[in-house]
Amino acid sequence: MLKLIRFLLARNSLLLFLGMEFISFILLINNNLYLKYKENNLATEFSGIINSKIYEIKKFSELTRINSELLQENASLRKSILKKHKFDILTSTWDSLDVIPAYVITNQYQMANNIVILNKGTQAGIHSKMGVMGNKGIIGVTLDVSPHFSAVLTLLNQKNMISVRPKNSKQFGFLKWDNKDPYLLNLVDLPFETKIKLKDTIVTAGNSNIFPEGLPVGIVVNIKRIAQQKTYEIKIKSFENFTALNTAYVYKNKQAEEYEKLKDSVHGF
Amino acid sequence: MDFKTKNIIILILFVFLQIIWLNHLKIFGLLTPIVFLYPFLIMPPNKHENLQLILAFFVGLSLDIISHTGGVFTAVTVFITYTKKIYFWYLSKPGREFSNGILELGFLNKIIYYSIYIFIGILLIAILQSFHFQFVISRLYLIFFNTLITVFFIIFFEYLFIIKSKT
Repeated sequence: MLKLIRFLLARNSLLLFLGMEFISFILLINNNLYLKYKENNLATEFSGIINSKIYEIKKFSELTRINSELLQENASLRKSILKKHKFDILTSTWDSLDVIPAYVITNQYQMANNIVILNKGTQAGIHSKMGVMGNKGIIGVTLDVSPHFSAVLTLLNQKNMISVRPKNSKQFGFLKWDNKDPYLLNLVDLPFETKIKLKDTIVTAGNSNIFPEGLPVGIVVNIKRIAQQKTYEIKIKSFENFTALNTAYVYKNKQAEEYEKLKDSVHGF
Repeated sequence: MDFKTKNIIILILFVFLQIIWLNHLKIFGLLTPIVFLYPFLIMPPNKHENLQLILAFFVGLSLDIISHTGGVFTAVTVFITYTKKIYFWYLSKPGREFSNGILELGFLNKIIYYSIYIFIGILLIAILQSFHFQFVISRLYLIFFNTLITVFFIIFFEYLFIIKSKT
């Protein structure tokens, strides 16, 4: 306390100066309507800034909820789009389907055999061997599924072989990845008689219960003829950016089990 | 007449001069010399500092009451009176402390000293009266010319009444 008093006494002219300036500013504000307005304006501005920051924080905390609502809505829209393709559905086993939205929580794209992990598992109705679609194109196939998570074998995995075809053709080949570029995939074993040109769209062939027919995969960027095998080897630029996966939609064929059982019983004879 | 009494007389003279004549004077229709700061500028910076601040406060307050300017002149006069020591502190060297303030300054240093503080004073008056920085910047040339006129007026006064009385 004594130190404080000594300090104040030593700087009494500074304190006097500050005190007088303080009084002047009070006089200034009280006697000047414009400054009063400014002061009020400043207070409004200040509270406005604080309120807008609080609003931004609130908005940000609600983003997760809004995002998951949008994801659900997107999934149901995808489902209804697929149902509108009546012809495809009548000729395939995808008569009754479900689309389960999920988030990608782990994403690999630099290994030889890459996988991604989704934040939903058996509790959400996901099982192994289900097709997974991203926002723009297919991602891969579910491999192992736990109650809350699913591991997906992506197209950037040398063990994956998905049947695909050009959009305007019925001949199909298989997707393979050569472990070089995460943006480029190979379409192999496509027969010579297939009409194909650069920039053609490649879609899923729908030969299995994993993917329905016609889901987008990528675009043709290079065509090479393999004369010996009488097939094409085609480079495809994937629609989906595997380096930035965020959301995923798992396609569930509700009749898949019934279909597989029937197929197995026929193979038994 | 001792230095303190002389300063008080100059103070009263300049404040009256400011209120009665200069506040109503518009040179070229625009410029008003602000001379009420002069008595505070000539007072020695480190002597009777508190007394100087109290004087500055009441002189500023009187000007504010007469001119209906709130606390503009009070704030500026107190500010200039307190901060003038910075200039002397800047000039001081070991063994050279300017304890008598303005009396020890050379002519050029005195002109610079007056110009700086008069300019700051007029600038602060403009800022505190308008609280609109863009407006003040657009009127910067007026502040500059007002400073010139005021410094000229002060030098003229010093020549007439101080230097001539010495001779």
